[in-house]
Amino acid sequence: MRALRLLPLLALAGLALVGVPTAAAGQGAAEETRIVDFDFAPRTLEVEVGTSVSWSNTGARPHTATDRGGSFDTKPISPGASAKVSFSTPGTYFYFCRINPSKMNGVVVVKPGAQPSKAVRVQAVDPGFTGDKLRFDPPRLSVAAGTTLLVANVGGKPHSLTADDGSFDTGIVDPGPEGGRFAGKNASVTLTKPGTFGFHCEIHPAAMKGVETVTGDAAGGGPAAASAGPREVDIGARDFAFDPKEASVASGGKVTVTNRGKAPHTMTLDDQPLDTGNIPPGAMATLTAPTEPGSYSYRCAVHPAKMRGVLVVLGRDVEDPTEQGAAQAVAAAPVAAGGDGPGGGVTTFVLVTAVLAAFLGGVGLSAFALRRRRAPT
Amino acid sequence: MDLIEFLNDLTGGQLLLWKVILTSLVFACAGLQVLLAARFYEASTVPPISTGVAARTHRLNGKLTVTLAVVVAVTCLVGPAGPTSPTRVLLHSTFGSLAFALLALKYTVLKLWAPGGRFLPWIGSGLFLTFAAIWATTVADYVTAR
Repeated sequence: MRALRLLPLLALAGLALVGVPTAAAGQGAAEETRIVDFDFAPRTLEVEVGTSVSWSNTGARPHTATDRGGSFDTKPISPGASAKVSFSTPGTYFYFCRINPSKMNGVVVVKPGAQPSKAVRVQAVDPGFTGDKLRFDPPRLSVAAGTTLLVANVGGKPHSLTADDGSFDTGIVDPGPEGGRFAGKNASVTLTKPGTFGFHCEIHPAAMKGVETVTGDAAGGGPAAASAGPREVDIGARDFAFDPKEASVASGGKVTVTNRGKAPHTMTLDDQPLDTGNIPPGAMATLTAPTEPGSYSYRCAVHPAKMRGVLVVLGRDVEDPTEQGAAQAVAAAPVAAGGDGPGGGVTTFVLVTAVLAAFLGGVGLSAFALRRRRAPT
Repeated sequence: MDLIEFLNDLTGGQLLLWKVILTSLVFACAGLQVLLAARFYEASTVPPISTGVAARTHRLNGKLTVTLAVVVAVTCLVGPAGPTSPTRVLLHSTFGSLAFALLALKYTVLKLWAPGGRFLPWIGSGLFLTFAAIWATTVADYVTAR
């Protein structure tokens, strides 16, 4: 009990001892962006491929420069310190400060150099956080065979970059937590087959389209492999929707369907002889995913009008080009800076807590006020 | 290791979210404090517990509240919160300082100036309202800034 009494005092002592964070590493660069409280200056920076960009914090608070597509994160830069990121992959990079994600946003545009790059970045953009329209950035690109596409989800919705003919597919690339408030994920495909390919997002096929021209020939040829997918996926069947509606799984992976509703449901693929049969409420069934990579629509045979979904089957793994010489666009390891902590439920939690606090405190304050009014009598 | 980095790592990069959660918890604890105080001052009959139990719970909850408030204050000093405007920062800093000033005043009255005890309900009510203002200038801003 005595130790408990000392807790607030110890905490107060800790508060008094806290100092300013120490300086972060990194200094000197070909291009420099200043960080002020609470903005980047300039907000848009155009650089040649291979340029190192330095962020110098001239503000009084720590800030970060974090890719919205999850490919770099400077970590907090203390006031007076700087951090540097080298860009060797052409493309547009939406970045932000993950300590002040709503206010501090910037763009680095990396222009291709004289030599063709081994990797090119494509951003999947949506209204989620940036307020932009659904699109690929850039929508048209021309690369040499053997080039790796780095597909970064900088929005608030899941996306994929899928060839119209199915020859390459990133699978579902998840957005950042809290509807894109924080950094999203990225995926990659290597293009080895020459030709012109239309591509689209499997989830937003009408709005998100593009064209990719692959020139020359690469050793190994053949269609590009897809990025890795999970070996198992769980899909819930509620009354009356699948959750999630879009799921990805590795080729030949295990699909478990759990009926979380009160009505019987099935998972029946539209174009494949795969069907769980009736799953009673509370029960589960499993399917083996098709071995051929691609997107497979499915339905509940009992409620086909209401319950539909898409299963994306991903092919063999490809090496992560961010770990190879092919793409050294990042200074730090690719991370989803937003992490996977508490998400959208936080809003509900804090609002409920606040209502509870206001109620408790309000009752107490009213009691004191009423007692004071009664006191003279 | 840099303290802000340590806190970010500790929270899996979700420091801001955890601050929001802790600030809300502090606000809720402050509300409970006022209710318990009203009970042991016999200004209220709720919650239906004895005044002794209410007083003991008030002290325990108070220690928890101060500890959580200090943790949040430390993170505010080493790593600022999310949506930020100069006005919000000014208000937040003012209310944050006021909260700890009121806490210091309360401890002074409790430990050093017994005659000032009659002011404790006022100080406690002021603390609750200050925590409400802090919540409004942080969490409410965070929630509405989407």
